[in-house]
Amino acid sequence: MATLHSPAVRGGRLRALLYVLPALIVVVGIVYLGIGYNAYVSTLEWSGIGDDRRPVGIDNYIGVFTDPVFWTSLSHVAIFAVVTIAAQMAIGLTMAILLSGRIFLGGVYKVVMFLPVVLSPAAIAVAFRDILSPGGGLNEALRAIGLDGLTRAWIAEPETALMAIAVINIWAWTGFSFILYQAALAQVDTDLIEAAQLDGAGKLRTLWSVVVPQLSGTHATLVLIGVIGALKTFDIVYLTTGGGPGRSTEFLTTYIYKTAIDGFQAGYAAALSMVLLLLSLLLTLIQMRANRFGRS
Amino acid sequence: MFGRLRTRDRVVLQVLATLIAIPFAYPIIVIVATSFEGQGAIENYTAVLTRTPFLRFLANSAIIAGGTIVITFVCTMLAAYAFSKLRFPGRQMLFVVVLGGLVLPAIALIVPIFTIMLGLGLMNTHIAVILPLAAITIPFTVLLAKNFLDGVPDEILEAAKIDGANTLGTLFWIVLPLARPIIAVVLVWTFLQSWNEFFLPLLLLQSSDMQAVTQVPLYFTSEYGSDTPKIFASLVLISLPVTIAYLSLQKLFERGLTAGAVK
Amino acid sequence: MKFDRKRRRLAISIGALAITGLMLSACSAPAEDDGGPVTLDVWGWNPDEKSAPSYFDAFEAENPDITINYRFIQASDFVNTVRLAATTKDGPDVFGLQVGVFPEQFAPLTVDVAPYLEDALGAEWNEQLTGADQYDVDGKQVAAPWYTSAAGFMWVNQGVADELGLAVPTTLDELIAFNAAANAAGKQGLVQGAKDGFANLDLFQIVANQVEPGVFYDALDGDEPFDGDAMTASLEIWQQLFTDGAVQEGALGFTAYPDANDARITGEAAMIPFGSWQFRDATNTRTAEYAETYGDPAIADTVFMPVDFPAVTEDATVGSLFGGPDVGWSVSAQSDAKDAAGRLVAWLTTSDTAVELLGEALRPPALKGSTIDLSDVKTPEQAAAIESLVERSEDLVGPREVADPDVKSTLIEVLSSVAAGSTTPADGAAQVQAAIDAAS
Repeated sequence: MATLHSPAVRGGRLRALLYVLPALIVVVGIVYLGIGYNAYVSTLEWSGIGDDRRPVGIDNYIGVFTDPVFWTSLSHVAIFAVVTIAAQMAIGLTMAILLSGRIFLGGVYKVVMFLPVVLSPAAIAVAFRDILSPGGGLNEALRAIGLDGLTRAWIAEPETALMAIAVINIWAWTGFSFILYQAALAQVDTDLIEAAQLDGAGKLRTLWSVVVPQLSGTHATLVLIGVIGALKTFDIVYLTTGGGPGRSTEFLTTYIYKTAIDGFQAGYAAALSMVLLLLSLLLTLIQMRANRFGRS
Repeated sequence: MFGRLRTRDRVVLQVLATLIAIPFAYPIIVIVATSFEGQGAIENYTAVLTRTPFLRFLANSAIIAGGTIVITFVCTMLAAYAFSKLRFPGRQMLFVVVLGGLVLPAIALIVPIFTIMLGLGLMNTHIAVILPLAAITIPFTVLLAKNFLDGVPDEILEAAKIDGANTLGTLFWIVLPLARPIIAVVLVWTFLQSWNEFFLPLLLLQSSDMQAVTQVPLYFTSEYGSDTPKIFASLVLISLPVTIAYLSLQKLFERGLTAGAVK
Repeated sequence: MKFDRKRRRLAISIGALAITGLMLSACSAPAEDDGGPVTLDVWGWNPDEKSAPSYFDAFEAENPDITINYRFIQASDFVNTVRLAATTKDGPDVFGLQVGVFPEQFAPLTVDVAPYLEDALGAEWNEQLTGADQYDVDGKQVAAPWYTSAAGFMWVNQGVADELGLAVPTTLDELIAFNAAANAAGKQGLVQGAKDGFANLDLFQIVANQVEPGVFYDALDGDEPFDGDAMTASLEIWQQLFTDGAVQEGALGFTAYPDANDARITGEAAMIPFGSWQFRDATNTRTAEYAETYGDPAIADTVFMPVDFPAVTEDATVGSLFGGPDVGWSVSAQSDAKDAAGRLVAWLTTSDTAVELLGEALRPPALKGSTIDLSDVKTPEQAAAIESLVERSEDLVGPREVADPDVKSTLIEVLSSVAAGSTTPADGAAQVQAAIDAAS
């Protein structure tokens, strides 16, 4: 759609490949070589140290699909993805729209929303472990407004730990949705808005029926990034709950890490990461396909 | 976009925005406030600067981030331009190949990365960290930049072609100036990814002199107990460069948008 | 013609590259055993940056031909960092190694240190080093034990107990009552860093050894059922610790270090189930350091007292200790200076100087017959308690560390889920049993 249809640009088609080459070399040379290595290791029974490697074919993969921890982790990732993507998009879009109303101190609000994105996971984890602790800020706030009954050890209880991590992630990443929406809103066709308002549509309806659909490209990008981001989430989980209590916040990534590092099962961990990879690829392709349908 | 707002509407917007912003501001306030506790702000921040190799690690991180930004920026703009505006065989497939790099977390790649860098003889050089960081950042920045360039009307490029610009010239003189907002995003993004990275420098740089700034907070956790206010002070200090980078590029970002070239 | 020239140029370049490579590798391989100066890269999680120089400066003074370059790595990142680096020449020459799962896993990365120990101590060297066998992998001495530690008791912040006007609890009921009273006064009683697997393994071993001393270790060896009465009962009590308030609220979100440790040092909490690696807390030096670190001069006067863990059942056997070597030193198989590295390892573990330095740090050296220096201990009561614990450590009920990685991670997950109430004690016991069966 956005392509130049005339026989591309001077220099011929193959020269265009040169533009892609640097990125390809770096990505293929590291990520794909890494994936290839993982694919090989995933067929071994190997501690990850020394020469005692035993080829086991697809046994590790069979192990993955019959491993209850794998399925538990996957369900956590799914819940986490849905909750965080929905919340980040909703809050990010809302805030972008609110701030487009040129409110007082809008610049400060903008910075506040985006600052979490630039903070290191280490800083975020340390702060939230404090805020979500039994005597931390969240419980204090609840007590202050009389909701003593709701206070709890948010990251220490299996019932709330996953949601607590989702909240941390929403805090950390909403600024990203916000900033993309803000950029996109600036490109929204104002004629359509004016036309809708001339038709007598209310502001909220204009928003919903005229503005939001125009942002479909941004929605799609955020969902795509959100899904992949959820599958890749590691630092925040590792640094706050470490996957616990029990397995209640185990993610595929933390499980891979534990299996490889604490469990000395490099082969099995590699098989888990190959499954994670295939899963992400599958979801990415589905979304790209769906996206194209949506556009045409 | 709302046209002219009545005062009442503006108050509603203001209140709503404030309600959303407070929970986002609070943790930042906690981090900064905690860094002032204990022996006090001056003592805490001085300790970070004097009792850790802060400046050396800062320089190391600057090298790592600088290298990653250069590689990522060049690769990203070239590739995104080609994927968005040029036609060539296998375009769609190669785009998927690059995007495929998006999906694996670095933590699953640590061992192969280690082996590759060892094989290239780059062990214990900052390049050993820069290359993998670029590799895991590029897929994402290419996606963003391509998405953005898709929104740049082809007509502008056609016009450039008629004026006799070649492909590279079009990228340089037409596309890049239009793409300033996304360039800002690419720069900030790559900077924060490389600046905040914890595991890669730790595992790939063997010498303690070469470590990155993310190691600084650990200096305040030891068998002598941990000094929470100083840990927070180091977290504030190491977050400053990225924050400043974001704040200063934010203006460019805004200017680029409001300049209206893209609309 | 043209191609030929290209090819020749290519051949020359490759040749040049190869020669450069050879020269480089020749340069980077330091000549060994010619008596010239050697620099050793030493990596450890213990000692930390502050205390490391005392050992390595002393070594350098006695061995002027060897320079030590020590890299401290946090315990949480240590295994990850070393397992990669020790496969290369760029990595450490000497590295620290814990007992438990690590000797067997790291064995391929190390050289046998027995010859160096034999040089230092004679043929009977392994009888003179406590727990040397825990580093013996199929006849290869993977590391030399440096100092030992024992767990099975708890530390009381006497200041907090006195302030609350409460006696140190000796039974589970008293412990729960103590915690409730502490909470009412805005403090914590017993704090457990239950986010950390190792802390849970320690506390669970205290419980299991009270229920029936030693059965835990027999069960891990497959000689007793883990899903039998003793371990199931232990897991039930384990769960009660968390549900009945024997540990603090939200314990599963606390790390042992720094969360729980900070709390009991600063006086926010009264008790913590740590072991002999904290002996130094009883000294004036350490409490003064704490006072500085935490910015509270009052900590300098705090008495940290090691006390037996309260009896968790009516007929509990209180006071069994478990443990072994805490840190051992390995020589990397990739080292270019193995002999110098071996000398360092032997020096750290057997020399009078090193043993004396360990004694001053109140770390019981693995070398038998050595003592720890109690002259800086604050009170005679603390000194007596430590002396008695050292004596009791000569008869340990088990090794503290679990040897099989799979069993260990299963056990850690089970302890956490049972504590959280998401797994029943019986199911948990069955899971551990399954892991033990799979491992054997």
